[in-house]
Amino acid sequence: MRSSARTINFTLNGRSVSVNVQPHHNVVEMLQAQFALFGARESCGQGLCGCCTVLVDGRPLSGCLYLAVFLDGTEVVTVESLAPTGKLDPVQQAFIECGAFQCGYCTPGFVLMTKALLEQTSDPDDEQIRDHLSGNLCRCGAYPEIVNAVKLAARKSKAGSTG
Amino acid sequence: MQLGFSMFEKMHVDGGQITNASLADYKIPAIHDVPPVMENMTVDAVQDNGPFGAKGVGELATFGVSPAIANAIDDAIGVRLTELPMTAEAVLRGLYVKDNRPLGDD
Repeated sequence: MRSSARTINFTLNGRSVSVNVQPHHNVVEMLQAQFALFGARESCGQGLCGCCTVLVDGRPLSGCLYLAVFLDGTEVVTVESLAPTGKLDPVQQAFIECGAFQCGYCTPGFVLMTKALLEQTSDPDDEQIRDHLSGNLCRCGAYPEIVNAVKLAARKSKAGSTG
Repeated sequence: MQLGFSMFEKMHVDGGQITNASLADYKIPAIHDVPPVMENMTVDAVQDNGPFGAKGVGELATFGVSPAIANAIDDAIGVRLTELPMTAEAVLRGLYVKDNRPLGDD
């Protein structure tokens, strides 16, 4: 049987990788099966909950809907890259300090969305935060704490970048 | 959680089959649906049959949410809803019932 696998090359968390993927595999399947990265989780599988968020060329997208072959030539960031040396990213630290989760299943998606937001807007207000995170669902209902965490992350990131 | 049960989450069943079995049709609260500030109050109470008078926590805290919202609706427009979820449609139907013009099923 002829294999329909394609070879794609992209940057994954700062490292150049080359991998064979089936045309029907989505990003989450590929990250889990081929790279043992489980931070992006499939929850609804319909692009409605944001648990599978990954950043592709800095843009957040749903890994459950995006086909892995489309990643060819892109730069992909998953939640695993935020603390490469074990030191947490300001966003992760802010989520912990604000208690912005209960079970934590949705947290990687919220953290990456927050990273993307803070790239665009260093000092977002409540309304911008809510609008930006409206596509992410948290069944535990930690939304007020998440909004606080984003604001704390913004302050931490600013403090970090100015020295 | 209880806010979702109280206001949004209606499971539609047709012949034993759930017909809104996805997050597209069965909406759960998202970040715009939750009030920015939620006041909590702890009431001291001894549970005689629990260890050292202790009582389970967690979902017990949800019991107050639905009655509070139902009371608020009653207070605002004089419609007493007795079923969950208390959707916008349920409130509208309640208003028509109050006006002696109940709406049909469709």
